[in-house]
Amino acid sequence: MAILAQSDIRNNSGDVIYRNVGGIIRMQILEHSPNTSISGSANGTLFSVSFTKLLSASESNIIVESHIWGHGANSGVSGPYLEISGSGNRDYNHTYQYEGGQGNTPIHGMSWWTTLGAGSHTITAGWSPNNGSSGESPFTTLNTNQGQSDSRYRKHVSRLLVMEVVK
Amino acid sequence: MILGATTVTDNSGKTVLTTSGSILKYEEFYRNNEIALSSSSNGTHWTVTFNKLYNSSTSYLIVKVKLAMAMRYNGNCGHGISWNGSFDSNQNIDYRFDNLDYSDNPVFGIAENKSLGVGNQTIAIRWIPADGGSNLPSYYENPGNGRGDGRRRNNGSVIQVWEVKL
Repeated sequence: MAILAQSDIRNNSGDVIYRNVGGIIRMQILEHSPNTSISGSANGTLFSVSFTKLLSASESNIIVESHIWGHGANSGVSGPYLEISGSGNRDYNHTYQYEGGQGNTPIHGMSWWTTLGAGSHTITAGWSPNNGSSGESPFTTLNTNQGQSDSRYRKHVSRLLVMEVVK
Repeated sequence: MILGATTVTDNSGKTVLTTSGSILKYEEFYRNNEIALSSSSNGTHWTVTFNKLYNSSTSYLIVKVKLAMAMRYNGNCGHGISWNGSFDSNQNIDYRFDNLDYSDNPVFGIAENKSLGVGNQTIAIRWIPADGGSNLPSYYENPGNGRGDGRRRNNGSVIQVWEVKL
């Protein structure tokens, strides 16, 4: 089978590590587990986590998939996002289903950054409604504890799936 | 430049250059046969087996789950992942609940385990309510065409497993 596009990525010894454009060279889960009460606001942050990018901006992109578990209804729409510190690039392609009853309110989505250099980066999850409305939030509790507000609950943790892919 | 590149040896004795986070193996499990579920204090959606290539000092597993569910029952039942029969209750796998009969209520999330050895690993997606009560997320997994709503198309479930360099 022919490989249509290649990008030679080599280590210091000159060995080819991964050549396929779009190939994943690093995959990891970033976790945030503390139970946190979330107050309504015109904007706010849920948590921040850090990772290390292996290659330069010209060599690789970063894909991040969000799996953020909340509970308790507050706002049906509140502009959830992921942002990488210093990138000037906040991404709102993350959504949640508003459920006013007993169910969860998970935030789920995918971001794609193409201009990040090698080294450490911090991802922040938060919310910021488009109209600046105050008192908003996607939910009232992040990472419910076991039995919190509902005896059936297990402990929840929020995770981001981070993939670095070759350009 | 790759930071911190290391090597592993595959089954044929070849040396593979990797770095932390490199994917050593990938397998995807899929099924779309409709399954009727019953309320339980100890339920299992699906069990799959993944043959891990390396020991826990070399690699770990990342699992991503999406189970198609329809016809709501309870809004909360204590979901999680079970590794070789051990239930991980500190978890990221649960379901979205819409309190309407015809809505989809998919189970989804991601998990990782860094303590598994080489060889077959049994991975199960389960619900075990913390209070021991009898519960059920939805009546049907992989709902078939027309199930509960004439508009519905059959929808399948996926479990993806990556073996990743530690």
